[in-house]
Amino acid sequence: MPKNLNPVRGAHTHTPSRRTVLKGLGAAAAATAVGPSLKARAGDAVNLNIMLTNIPWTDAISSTIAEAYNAHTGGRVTITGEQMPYEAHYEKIILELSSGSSTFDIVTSDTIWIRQLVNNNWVTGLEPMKAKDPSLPDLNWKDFLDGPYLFSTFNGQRWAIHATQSTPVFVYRKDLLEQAGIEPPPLWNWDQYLDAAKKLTKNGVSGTAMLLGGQDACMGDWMFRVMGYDPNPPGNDFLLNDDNEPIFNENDRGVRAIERMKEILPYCPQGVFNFDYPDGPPLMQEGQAALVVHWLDMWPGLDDPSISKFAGKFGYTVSPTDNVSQHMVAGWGMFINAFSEHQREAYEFLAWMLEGPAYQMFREAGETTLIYKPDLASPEVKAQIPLLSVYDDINRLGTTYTAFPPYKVTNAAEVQRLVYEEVIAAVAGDKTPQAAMRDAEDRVVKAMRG
Amino acid sequence: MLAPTFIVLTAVGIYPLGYSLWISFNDYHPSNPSFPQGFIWFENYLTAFLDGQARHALGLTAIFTVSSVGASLVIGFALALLFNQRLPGLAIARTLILIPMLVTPIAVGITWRIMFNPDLGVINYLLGLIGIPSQGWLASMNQSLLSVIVVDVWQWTPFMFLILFAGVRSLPRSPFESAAIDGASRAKIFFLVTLPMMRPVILLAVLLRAVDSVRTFDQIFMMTRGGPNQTTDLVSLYLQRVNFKFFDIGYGAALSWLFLILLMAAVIAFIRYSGFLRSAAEKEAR
Amino acid sequence: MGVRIEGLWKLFGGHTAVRDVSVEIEDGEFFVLLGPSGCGKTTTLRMIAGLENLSAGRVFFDDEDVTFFEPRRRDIAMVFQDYGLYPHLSVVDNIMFPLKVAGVPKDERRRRAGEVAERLEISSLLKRKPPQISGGEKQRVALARALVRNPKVFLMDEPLSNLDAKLRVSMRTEIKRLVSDAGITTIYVTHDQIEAMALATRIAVMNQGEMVQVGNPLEIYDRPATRFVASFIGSPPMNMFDGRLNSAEELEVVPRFLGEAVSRARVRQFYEQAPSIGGVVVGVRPEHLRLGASVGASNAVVELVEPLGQSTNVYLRADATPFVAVTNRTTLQVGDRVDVQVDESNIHVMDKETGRNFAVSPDDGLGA
Repeated sequence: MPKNLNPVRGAHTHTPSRRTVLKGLGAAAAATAVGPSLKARAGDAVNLNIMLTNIPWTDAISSTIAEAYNAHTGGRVTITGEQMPYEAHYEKIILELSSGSSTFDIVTSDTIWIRQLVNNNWVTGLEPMKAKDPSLPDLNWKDFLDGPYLFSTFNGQRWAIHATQSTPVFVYRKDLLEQAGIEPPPLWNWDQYLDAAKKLTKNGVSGTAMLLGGQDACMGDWMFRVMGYDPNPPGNDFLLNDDNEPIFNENDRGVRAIERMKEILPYCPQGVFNFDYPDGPPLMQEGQAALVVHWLDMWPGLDDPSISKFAGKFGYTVSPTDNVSQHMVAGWGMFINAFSEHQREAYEFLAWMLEGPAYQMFREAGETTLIYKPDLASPEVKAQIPLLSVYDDINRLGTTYTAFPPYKVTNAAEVQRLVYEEVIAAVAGDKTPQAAMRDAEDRVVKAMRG
Repeated sequence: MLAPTFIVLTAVGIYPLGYSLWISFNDYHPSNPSFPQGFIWFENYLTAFLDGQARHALGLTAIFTVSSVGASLVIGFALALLFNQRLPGLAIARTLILIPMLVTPIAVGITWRIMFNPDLGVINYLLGLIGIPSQGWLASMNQSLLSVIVVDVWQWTPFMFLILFAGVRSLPRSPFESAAIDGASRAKIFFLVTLPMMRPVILLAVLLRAVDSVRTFDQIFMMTRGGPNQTTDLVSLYLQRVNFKFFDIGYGAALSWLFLILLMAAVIAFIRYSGFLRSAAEKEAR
Repeated sequence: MGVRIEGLWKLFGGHTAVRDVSVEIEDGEFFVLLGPSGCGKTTTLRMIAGLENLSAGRVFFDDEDVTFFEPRRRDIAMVFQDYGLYPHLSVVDNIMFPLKVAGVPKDERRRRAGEVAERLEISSLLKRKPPQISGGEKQRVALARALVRNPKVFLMDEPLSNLDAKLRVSMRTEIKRLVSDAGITTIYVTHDQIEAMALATRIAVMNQGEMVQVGNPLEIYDRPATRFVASFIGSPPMNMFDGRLNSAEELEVVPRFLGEAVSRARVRQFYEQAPSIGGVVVGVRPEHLRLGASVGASNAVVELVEPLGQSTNVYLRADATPFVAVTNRTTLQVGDRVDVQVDESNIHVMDKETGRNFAVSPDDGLGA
């Protein structure tokens, strides 16, 4: 779940290393001089082009990691990347891969699109590659959190290496809670949350906020609430069961989640229906809202005094819940394009990344949604990124991981859209929550048939 | 000698149109494993006729276009008349008011989204200074359509002004003096002389603006993405969603064709019933 | 209704378009403002109409001060040089327009427009629109629109100048007939002195923003107050020659026969008016020169003959100075020597500096 934290830069802003330039010139010269031998020459200098999005870890790939890997291979492999804004990323994936394009050797994908890549045979599985070619290096999974692999492990194999893991974080203003005499979390129920939001709405500060204007962001707000009602059996994504039948309103949990959203509306800022991911961080940095629950990758700037007026005053913990404490996870993965002409090199690059240093470069580039265990265990890193304390609470409270986004179906983005439209209609008061959930079920069933 | 022209025209114009027509008769979901799904006759078109969301979008587009064009016509005309007076400083102001027209719609969308922000935006701040309570604007189900219309009017009134100003400038002077002497008040001169004499120019400006307005996408996508709760979900935004969210390209193509036909019918009706060609010919003869 | 203007001034930026113009126009008069282009006549008319703000002065209709009235409150009608028709309205709607804005009921509007159209013989055009009719027809429509409402004052700004010569003459007659039938005070602007002479009960000649002379057409013609009026009125224009009043007894001018034609008593009369002035301009109208067959003192030679049918222009030279005479049909040929005679009463002697005509008394016909 990405949060558009970085300004989007075009493909042309990537600064090529001097070596790349020289090599490019050399290749061009070679091409002019001896056309037919180009292929043979290209064989010993491979460029891996990666489809990236605009969050910190992808910055690292096209800069520090690219340099490190180039050095590691002795110049044999170069890395280039093209950054897409989140909204355009999905379109880019579909347009590129549905046409069998080999422009990108490695494609990054958010959780929700993974099945689309795999079921369309647009990506090559990592483990089958290794099975086919034992000379390939082993993949080191053990140093990484397992959470994100909930989504990319199926049909008996892992399809991706994951770069990040995001999870909902309950962000609260410690100072405001103290002033109001409210005992801080962890593990509130939503009644406590509502009560606190009510009390904290004063002096131009809203008690809480949601991001109802964006499809993915709004679905987060709804799902954070849905996940607290029933324990989730493994292999279930909460939205659809194994037969792809809608289950999101089992035991009325969808309706209850909508009602939970509606009850805090009066304590949200006026712009709540238009907020999308980019609107989240400023709300807290500027002190517009006191409490908010949203994805971890949205908040890295909160404790940076240069952009946040209330740095140091934020607390982070697990999401409130009504029944069971579960934490859904999501995150970006990296896949090998099935149409790539450099699949072996792509595999080798991903295997190299799993050795660890690349993930430290993610962190150095400002990424907070870390999954590299040595980093997560390091007191220095924890001190540097207070947000990560949410994992302490998760461990301490026995909160379990669960998968949520409609990750199991090929047309997940479409299904998410349908559910979003119904949820927002209910939150806006156009429909009763019950009617909205019924309509959502109907539409999802239809979409699954089509 | 015609061959190169024909080839170029076919390549850039007819082929893409023909291809999109062909796709509109297919189930075309490149995002699904079953792709390509194949020819389905008129199913996309039948779906379109039953599609409540498409009707909703069409209705919003009609309201949006009529309001935006109407408001920019009134304001643009008023400005054209004002600037037709010889008042000091107007020459500079005349250049300044053209600026909105020159701004990229994406930038317009981002800028206004920030200005319309109910909590941090400058508009509510200024209204607050004169005691008006802050409004939801883009975030309000009741005001979002109005807000995007305001932005469209802001951006395109200069265009309206430019055409109407040129028209006002080219009017002969004596009919107005005749009317003044014949006993007509200012209001009567406006309604009985100015307006009818400007008719061909007004019709042209309205036609150009309306065709442009029904296709508005960028600013609204930047400001609301069609929300909240689809209150600004114009046809262009719905089409974008069908094509690039649902990747239902065949249906998107069918919708686009239906919309194109509807738009053409509207334009033809406008030209016929407004007497556009007749009044243009009269202006020519004048 | 009478129209009186007092001390009218109009400044455009630094340029003075109208300079202290005053005149009183009688009820029912056909008053023509005549002058070359740029003389301020149209501006004067537009100030009377209220279309132009005045820089100074007053305008009275009868005794009512209308200086600051909007045009629509002055109850006037105006015909413009380009007719000022409403291009989007049919001819009949054009004619009815003043009645419509005055709130006259529809039936009555139609009746009156029909009558006026009949009078102007444009009944067959009523359904057409201005772009579809000829210039002469437009002129009639403009007149009809002006006449239909029985205005108190009728203003016409060069109404005939866009028509061809023949049509101009016939429309001129028609305008005179229509206006005198209606008996409406009319102020008419033209640069065409023949038009002015033909139409006017009184003419005001304007030059460089000033009203130079006001009088009935023959007065203006016979007794031009200044050199400008003398040269502006008449076709072919008055012959002008530089001369000197050397003493109370001698008017020196070339050709000499002119000076000789003026009696000593009359020279003295001129001299007394301006004893200090030496330089004068001597003028005589071509039609006042009589050509005799015998070779007389004038000793003029025919250089060119222009037979115009009704009259003949004879271009002559005497004492090395060219001039023109107008006669009836003549058998004169180029090279013929002729005698030229003129009555002293037809010789104008004008101040070379100020242009004042000594041949007319100072208070003669000048408005001031």
